[in-house]
Amino acid sequence: MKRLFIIIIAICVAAGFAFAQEKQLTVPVVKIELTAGPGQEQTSTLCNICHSADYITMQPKSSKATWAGSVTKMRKVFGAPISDAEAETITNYLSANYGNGK
Amino acid sequence: MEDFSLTRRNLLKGAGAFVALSALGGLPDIVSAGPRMVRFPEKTDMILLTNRPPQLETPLPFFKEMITPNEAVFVRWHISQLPTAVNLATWRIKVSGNVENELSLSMDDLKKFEKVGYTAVLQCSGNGRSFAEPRVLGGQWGNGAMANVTWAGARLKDILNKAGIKAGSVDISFNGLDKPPLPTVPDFVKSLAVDKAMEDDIIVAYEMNGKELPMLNGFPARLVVPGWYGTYWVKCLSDITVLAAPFDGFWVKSAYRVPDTDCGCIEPGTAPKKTVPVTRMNTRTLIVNPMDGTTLKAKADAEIMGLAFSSNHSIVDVIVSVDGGTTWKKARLGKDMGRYSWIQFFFPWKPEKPGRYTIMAKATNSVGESQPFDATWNPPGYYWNKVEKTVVTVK
Repeated sequence: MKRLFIIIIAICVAAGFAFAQEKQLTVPVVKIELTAGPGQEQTSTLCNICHSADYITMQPKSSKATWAGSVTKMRKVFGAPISDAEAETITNYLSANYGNGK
Repeated sequence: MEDFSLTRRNLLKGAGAFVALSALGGLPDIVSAGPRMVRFPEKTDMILLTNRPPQLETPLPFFKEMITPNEAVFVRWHISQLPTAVNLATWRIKVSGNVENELSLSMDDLKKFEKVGYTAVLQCSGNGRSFAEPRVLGGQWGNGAMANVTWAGARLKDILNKAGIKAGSVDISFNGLDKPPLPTVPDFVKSLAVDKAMEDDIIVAYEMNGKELPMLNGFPARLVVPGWYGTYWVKCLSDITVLAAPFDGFWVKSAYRVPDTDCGCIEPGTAPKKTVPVTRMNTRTLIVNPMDGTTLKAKADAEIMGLAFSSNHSIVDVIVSVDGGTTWKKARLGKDMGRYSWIQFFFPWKPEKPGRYTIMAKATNSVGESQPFDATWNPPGYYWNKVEKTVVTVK
């Protein structure tokens, strides 16, 4: 009986050790709303493949050319699966809602 | 951290992200509420820049501390598939490529190498990007993408010597457990030239401030390249590869590059002719107390306090001005924790008359490198280090 008790203790210690060996990470999901407007849904869906929407909302208000450059970078450099037509929709949306009027 | 009173104004200064919101006209609700604070695993309440991949900024009051507590160290990831779990029973650092002996190092193996450590500033190349004018796209950091941490681990050199670098090796690349969201997104891999990698002070760190690393800061081990920007400090290190040809990965060849000029800067709004990789940190200061926009009492003792650091050379001099740069006096320097650490400076001040005062601080290192009075600029928004101005009202 005493022996069994020691074995149980040993198993618990080993289990505890194994637990300490592992560390987990769950990054919370923070809800970020993009401004409502034409193209919002496509922008949200396509951009979210790689990153959360705050990669858009934190940026300084930018010109249409700057947003177009950013969309092109996502497609050409990072291979985002965005068609020409979708790229135009997204660029127009970003320029209209996160633009500086230029 | 008792002294954790965050005024809205201070937070706004810290959270560059919210500077953008002022452009909306009026004050939308979100600004009234201050920047968005989040608490992620093993971290304290941090300023949210981005959620996925996460970028979290350290609130300014933590910079009153000489050592940044682990839970307050900023977080910056590049590609969105972060490791969800690391088990030390199976985690290994693989050392391979142009070596005599491939290694597969467990944490126990890593701890068999001589343990070395020091205090060093970890700073993102884009710290202060939100102050760039003209504004540039990228992580809109205020001043909170830096930390002063006591690191400990094994010398990279000792690991490489154990593996035996073969003749003709050029670069060494470093990869971590993070993975790209699409196969077309380049994996986050960085490299150092062999000569750089063999420097004594580069370590594979498994301790931050005497404790294991938070997952978001690179558990179980990360590369520490003291004096150089954080982009090289690869987190959750898994692969060290010795290369016989120059490394040509995206994150070295195309990203994290600055104009090939002395300051790494060019005429604002222009494009560089030639670029080189981001490397050494420049010299900078931050005034932590009083904070910008605060009100002080006339004829009352105040103490100006801040921090200064400069890559791999000690700060030897910090001068302070309380009249917008017209006159300067030496500040007292705090405890010297080595050339990679920041140093605190203190300047007693008793403003006699009510009014608005512009406080400035300028640091110089042991080889004469200092800070510019005017902002420097480059397209990615790196290397921000201009002499800061903190404006306070005395009543």
